[in-house]
Amino acid sequence: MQPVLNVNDLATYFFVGHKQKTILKAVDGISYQLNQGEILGLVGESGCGKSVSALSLLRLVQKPGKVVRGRVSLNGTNLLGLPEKQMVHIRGKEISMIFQDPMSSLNPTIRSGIQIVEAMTWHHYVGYAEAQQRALDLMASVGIPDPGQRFSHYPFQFSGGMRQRIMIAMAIACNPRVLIADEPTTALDVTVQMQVLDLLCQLNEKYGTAILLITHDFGVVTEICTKVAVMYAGKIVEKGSIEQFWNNPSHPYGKNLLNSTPRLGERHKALTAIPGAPPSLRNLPSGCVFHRRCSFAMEKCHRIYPPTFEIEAGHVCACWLYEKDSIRGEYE
Amino acid sequence: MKTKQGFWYQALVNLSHNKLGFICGAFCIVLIVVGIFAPWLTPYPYNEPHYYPHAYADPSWEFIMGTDDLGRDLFSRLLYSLHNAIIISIGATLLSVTVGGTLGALAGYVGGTLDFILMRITDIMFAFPSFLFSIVLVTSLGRGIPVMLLAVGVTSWVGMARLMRAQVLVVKNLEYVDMARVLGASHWRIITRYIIPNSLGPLIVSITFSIPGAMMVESGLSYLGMGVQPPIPSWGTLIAEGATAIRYYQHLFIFPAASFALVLLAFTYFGDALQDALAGKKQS
Repeated sequence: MQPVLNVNDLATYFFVGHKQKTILKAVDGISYQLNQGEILGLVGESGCGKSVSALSLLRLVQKPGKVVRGRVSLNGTNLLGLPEKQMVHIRGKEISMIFQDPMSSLNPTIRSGIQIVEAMTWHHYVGYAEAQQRALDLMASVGIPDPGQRFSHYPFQFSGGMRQRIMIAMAIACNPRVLIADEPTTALDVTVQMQVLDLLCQLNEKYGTAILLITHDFGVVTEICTKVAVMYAGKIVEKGSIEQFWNNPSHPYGKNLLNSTPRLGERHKALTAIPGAPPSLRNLPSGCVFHRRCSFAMEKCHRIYPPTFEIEAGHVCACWLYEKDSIRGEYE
Repeated sequence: MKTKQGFWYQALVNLSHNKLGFICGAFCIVLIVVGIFAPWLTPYPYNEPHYYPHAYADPSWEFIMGTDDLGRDLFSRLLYSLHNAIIISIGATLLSVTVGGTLGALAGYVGGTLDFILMRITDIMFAFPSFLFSIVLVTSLGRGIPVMLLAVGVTSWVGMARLMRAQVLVVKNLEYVDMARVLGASHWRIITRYIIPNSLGPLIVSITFSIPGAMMVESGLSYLGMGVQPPIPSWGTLIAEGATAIRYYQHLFIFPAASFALVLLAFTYFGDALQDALAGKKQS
């Protein structure tokens, strides 16, 4: 089956400083596939390029950032080559996105129901009257009680969780194939987090929407994701299905991440922290970007960035440790 | 829970808690209505002389504010001054809001080279002594009401442009604008539905301050004899004429000066109150 979204060697650099000569490689050659009905968790520390990679898909990286290479195909069309006029109708209609902070992501001057309606009319998805009806249905389906009355309320009259639901309703109004959720639960209470995750799962099951879930919360990942990709300093260091990653974390960074996350049912085990801090993008280490914090680092790691090695079917890892026993290595 | 009521309703509620501001606001509205319909409200035409025995008449039931040297009714002339002041100040404000608001919004939204060029133009305008500029315009283009309107408006758009640009710069980086962009809104929709409505608050406050400002410039010009062509009355000319007669006919000075002060105070207090009321909206 052809993946809905195929990201291949996507790279977004920021050109800053004097005469834009300093290059910050925020996203540096990441690849992943997203099939219909899948939920891919993109995990990583703050500042490792998760959000920038999502905005790159939509071609919304602001200056001084620029997508320098790669291919993003949505059902076979390369989005990076489309004219802006067509791109406007990809955003929201084919690929949609929800943000982290529900408190500031809705326009305070437009009634919330109308905001959902507008998300549809922008793309001539349905007529205005029909859009109104659909907005009411959407509000009901994302779990807003009494949509008829709430339709004409302004965002400030809603609580955070309810605003998140409205945002989700806006994002899914045109039935997009891909939904990017950029830390959708970070700003919410734990109970509301659960409800929002449930909602995302329902969407995924009901409409087959593929979801790219950006998060740094492993609890969220294990809850709903089918696949995981771990990002570190602009690169994907490990990806695989959630079971593969959970049972057999391979990249030292992935292992460390899991060891620093509490698991239910495992008592008496101290959580470990990863020593050091993520490298500054201004001053990336040579070779493997992780080698300074890695306890397995070899001489080779200081010099050459490892290619990706396939450990099991569908489980790949960019680390020299697996050079010998990998099933297949892709040399760059 | 309140339903169907937005920010402007809330601002109105906030405003009504401020008694002075609310009264001043009501007074301003009365002034504007009276000013616009002044030609139909005056008891006498502004230029109708009632010579002897009515020249320099004291206030009486016949002429409630007395008459001037030609026996013209001062009250009628004051209403006409209000008429001119309102037309010129509101017209000039509209002009400066349209020009300044558009240029500022454009500079803020587009950014880059366009922003640089537009802002340097406003800097040049800002550095120019604006009152002098108005005088130059009036002396070279004549003293009609449209010219006055232009002379006052052309100098005041600069502040509006800067304000609007600053507002747009703030709003355009807010998350809900990103949200609109992500959901596929075009630039036009982002500007008209997202950026402009959310940048208007300070602009409206600035408008209420700009109206008395424009009145000041207009009467300042006419005080110096650069205002609208006499015999069309203007507050500046009335005050200037009253000042020459102040030792003998105090009413000729007191009524224009006091009413002018009252009008300016009302607009300024209203602007203040409106600013507070709109700022309160952000706390909810």
